[in-house]
Parts: sequence; structure tokens; C-alpha cells
Amino acid sequence: MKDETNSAFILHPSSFILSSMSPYLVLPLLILIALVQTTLLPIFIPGPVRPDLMLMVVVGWGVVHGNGQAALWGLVGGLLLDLFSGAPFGLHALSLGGVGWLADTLQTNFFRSNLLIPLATIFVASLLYHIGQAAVMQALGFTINWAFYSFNVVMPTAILNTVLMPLVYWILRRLDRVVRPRLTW
Amino acid sequence: MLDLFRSRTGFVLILIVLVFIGIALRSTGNMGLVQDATFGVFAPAQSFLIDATNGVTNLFGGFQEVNALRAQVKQLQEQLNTAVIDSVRVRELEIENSELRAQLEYKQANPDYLLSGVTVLQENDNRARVLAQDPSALVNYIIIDQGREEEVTVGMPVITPAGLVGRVTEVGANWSRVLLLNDTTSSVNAVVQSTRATGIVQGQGQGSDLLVMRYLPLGASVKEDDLILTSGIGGAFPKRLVLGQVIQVNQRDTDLFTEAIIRPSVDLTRLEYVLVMKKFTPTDITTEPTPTPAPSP
Repeated sequence: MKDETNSAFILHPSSFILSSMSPYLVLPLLILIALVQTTLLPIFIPGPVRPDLMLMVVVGWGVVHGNGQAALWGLVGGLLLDLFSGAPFGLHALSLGGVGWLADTLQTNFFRSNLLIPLATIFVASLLYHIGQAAVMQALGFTINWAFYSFNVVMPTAILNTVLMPLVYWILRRLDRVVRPRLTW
Repeated sequence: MLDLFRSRTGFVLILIVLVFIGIALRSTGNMGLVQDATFGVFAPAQSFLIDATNGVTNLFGGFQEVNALRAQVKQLQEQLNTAVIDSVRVRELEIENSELRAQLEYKQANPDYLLSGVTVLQENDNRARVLAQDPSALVNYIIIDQGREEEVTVGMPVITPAGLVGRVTEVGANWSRVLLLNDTTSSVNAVVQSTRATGIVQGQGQGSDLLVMRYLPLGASVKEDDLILTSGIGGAFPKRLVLGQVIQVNQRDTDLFTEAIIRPSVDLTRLEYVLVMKKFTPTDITTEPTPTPAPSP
């Protein structure tokens, strides 16, 4: 494994097991998230305002881990959502991939314990995600009631995502500690 | 070259190519094999998740619902009493209708279609389970666990005892996609039960669960609390399926038509089981000959 840090440090042997999130771990995780979002969440939270679980995971992983992985997660997760959706195919894949790429650029090793960064990121990402999808749908000929959609779906969903993001962020940080190479003196 | 495809950039490129292939496949209607494979794998997992969730919910929710249930029972008892009276009256009308039709030798296009959704469901154990709802609020679709193997075809109406839910738009081996009434692309020919004025009921989508009935004649063609039914015009849906109830009428002097806002009779956000009307065959208007005028002498 390539040592991305100072060569004076020695990588702990156990870190080689999960030194990166392999597809064999990521794909089942994203499938589970897609199933929960389309099957379970509508049962507990009926109506159009529901947490965007896949979006929160993609954005959160981008802020926590970065390194281009969030864009990948977004593309794969979006493809899975597209299979369940009646919207034009590719809508979720491209929008989640784009948002994941933006989240990757915000990844930082500094202030990672500062919760404001992922909260602000998910709020902005939620707005971009939903408004972007609506813009694409309008370009494809669908009629969009922007005022109604913005105030009744986009804003409440963005707020809901922001409220729930601390929990998702905490889980992802724990996951990141497992997959990042651990260092020993 | 091989290094490119082993790298993350290469992987992203492959995924983007897959997305565009998927767009092409769906737009040409050739996505069937992929979706059959997908839902064939996911459907058992979805059913398991729903069953597990219902079990946990029943366990913890039961204790909190006793008082609410008592009030609900009382309310339902009152409604039942009213419904019994109405049921007797309706049954009398059905008998009279049947006798009159026999006298006129009137033949319906779908003689096996039953008027009552409740009756249909009671006599048919073959309900379809709702496996998933659309993840986007911009469109309104559900996935059900019946498809070609259960003789479901595109265009079939989907109902519950409360009324019309939507229609089947895509069919796989053992799954189907159903377009809900409240989607912006949903359009149903409808009639006002009291005045028999006809119009078109469309969904508003984008998070709204209300419907709008358009192209109603100006004047007293509709009022609040009127019941809206399917008219059967066009042949896509059978007649007399309940769509909803009028909650608001919009009419301005400058408008050519009246509009009515309708609350659907079915709660489209809490669907668990639905019934596909397989005995109803939608009229294929593309095969009907175009009427041509007789040549003038």
C-alpha cells in the first residue's frame, strides 16, 4: 500500500485490511441505503418531505474522507435510486455524483470535529440537489411550480437533512477511522 | 491504457458511460432485463424490511394507540351507521339499474367489472404489495410486486377500496411501476357525480397530494364537497371509480373554464396494498379506424 504520509511513520498491519473502502463493502452499503430510502422511510415518514439518506451519506463521506470517493459513491448510489425511480434515468446519478464531487473538494483534515462544516455543506447540497433536479426536469418539458416546490419541499427537506446530519456524520467519522490507515510511531 | 481503467478516474468514466447507456435504454424501452434482474434481487429484501418494520411498529405502537383507537371506533361506528343506510339505497338503485339495462338490452364493454372497489378486493385475494415509493418528490410512482407473471399489462388501472390510485406504466417479470394520480403527467377523464359535468383530473405533483379538475363548463357545474368519479371516456379507465372530493372551486369571469381542486379519496402517501384491475382491458385507440366523412354527392 502506498504510504501517503511521512515515511517516518509505520502503518499498522491491521490497516491493510480496510485501507480503502473496497467495492465489496461500498456496494452493499449503498444498496442498503437505497432500499431504506425507498422502502422504509416512506412507511415512517409519508409525504414528500423525507430525509435524503443517500445524499447525506454521499456528502458526509465527501467531507469526512474526500479523495474523490464521494463522487464515486454519488454515481453508484444515484444509479441505484434511478432504478427505483420513474424520473428520467440518470437524474439521481448525475445530481448525486455532482454533489459528491463538490463535497470531495470540501474535504479537509482541519476542523474535522467542527460540526458546522458538514451541516452547512448538507444544507447547501440539499438545495443544489433538489433545485438542480427540478431545473433538469423543466428542461425536459415538465412543468415545475417553483414557488410551491421550493417552499413546501426543498426548504423543509434541506432543514430536515441538516437536523439529521450530525448523526450521519458521526457514523461516517467512525467508519472513516476504520478505513483510514492507522499509524504507529 | 489499462492503468486508466484501474484508476479512480477510469472508474468514474465507466460509471458515467453506464448512466448514459441507462438513459438510452430507458428512453427506448429496453431497460426490462436490467430492471427485472434488479427487482428480482431487491423485492425479497424489500418485503422482508417491510414485514420486520411492521412487526416492530406493532409491538411498540400498540401501547400508545389505545385512547386514539377508542375515539376512532366511536367515529367509525357513526360512519358505519350512515353507510348502512346508503348501502341499502345503493343496492336498490343497482337492482333497478340492472333491470332497466336488461330491458333495453344494453351491453357494457366490461361486463365483469364490479362497481364496488371493496367488493373487488374482497373477492380477490390477489392484492399487490407496494414495495417502494419514488425517491424523488418531482414524480409520483410506486413499485408493486406483480408483473407479467401475474398477467399485469401496461395501462391497467390500479385501485384500493377507497378509489382510483393510478395506472400501470411499466411492467417487469414480477414487478410493475404505477403512475399515481397526483403526478403532473397523470390525466383522467372525470365527471362530477351531481351535475354530470365532465372535465379532466390532473395531478399537481412536486409534493402536492391534491388534484385539479380542469375544463369544467362555466356556471354551476361543480361546487364544494361534490364527488368526482371517472367518466370512462377514452377507455383508459372504467366508469364510476371514485377519484376524490372537491374542496375548492376556482372560477373567474375572464376564464373560459372552471377549475376545481380535489382531495383524492385515496391517501396516496400511505399505500400498502393495491389491486390491479386485470379484468379491465384499456381501449387501444391506436387500432381504431379513423372515421372518414362520406364523399359528397
